Amino acid sequence: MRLEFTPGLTIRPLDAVRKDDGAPYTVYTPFSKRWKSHPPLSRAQILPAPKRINTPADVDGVAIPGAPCAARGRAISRRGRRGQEPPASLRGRG
Amino acid sequence: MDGDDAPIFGYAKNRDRPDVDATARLSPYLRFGMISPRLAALGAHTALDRAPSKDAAKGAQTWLDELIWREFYQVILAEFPHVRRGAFRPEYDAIAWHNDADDFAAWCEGRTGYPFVDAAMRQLNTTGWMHNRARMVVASFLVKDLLIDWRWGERYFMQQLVDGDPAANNGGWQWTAGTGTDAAPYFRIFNPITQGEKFDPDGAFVRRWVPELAHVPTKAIHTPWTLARSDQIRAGCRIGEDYPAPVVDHKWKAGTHA
Repeated sequence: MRLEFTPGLTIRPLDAVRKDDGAPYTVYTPFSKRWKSHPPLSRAQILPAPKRINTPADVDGVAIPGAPCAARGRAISRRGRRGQEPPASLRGRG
Repeated sequence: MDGDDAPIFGYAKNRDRPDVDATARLSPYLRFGMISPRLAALGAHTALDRAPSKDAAKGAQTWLDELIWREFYQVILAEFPHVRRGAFRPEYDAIAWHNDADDFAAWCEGRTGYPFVDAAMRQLNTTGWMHNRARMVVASFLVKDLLIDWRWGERYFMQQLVDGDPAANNGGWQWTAGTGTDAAPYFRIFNPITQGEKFDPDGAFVRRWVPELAHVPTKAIHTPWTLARSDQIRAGCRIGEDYPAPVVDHKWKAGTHA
């Protein structure tokens, strides 16, 4: 089996779009101009999805817990409810 | 959908309308690697090649630009990891925020008294997703009107969003706060009233998420406190009782910042 690294998080590798001196861009517009100056991707550059992914036979499934999101939505829709403290790490600032 | 009517061709025209289903809604899939961003880019390029008109091409181009914004903030986070903790430009960490916990709770729960802001926050709380135009407006409101640290908002968005991406979310909040990569500006302030009137002109977005305002006439849907008391009663929405009075005066706060 061959291991091949591909840029997956982004369209172009994170270091592919840089200023002439090699420094990263810090403003969007020149970044996007340089980004677009590269040739568009072709389909051949995109690996196809795997036909299947074999998972180890001894992996046990775990039930999805109850739906906290739904419960939370209901709580929030009750008008006048107090709550939502500031994030703990930021409390007591400023 | 394919052909000349493909939704991407209308993207430039309608993407800012939260009352219209005009965005791809691919963000959660991009966030978790369920669709390759390269495949998305290929789709945009293919659409550009096949665009039947200038406007259609602009739609595809604008959509590609949004993918490039995503790339840009991934680069910023990778190259400048300090943005996770504070301002891209550290001198802006010195801003003295007001950080009122009651104001923050009102914002989180969608009861600021500004209908467009409240609709957007309730959309977020209910569905885990918020329209991008609305994200910009609620973020500006938190930072520029309530004078609350953008990191509180960033954290809350990460808790709630199904597409919450550390790079894009952080970049967006710093853009709004004016602490980020953008050359600009503390003076970029979104007006929650005119934004609503412009991008939700019939009030459909507000009525969907803020049912208290369902019967408020369209001319006052973004400013229900301007209705006479008798009209409030007729609309079944008494300000201060059925729906909150504005938590701050937008004009006043914006003024303190200047």
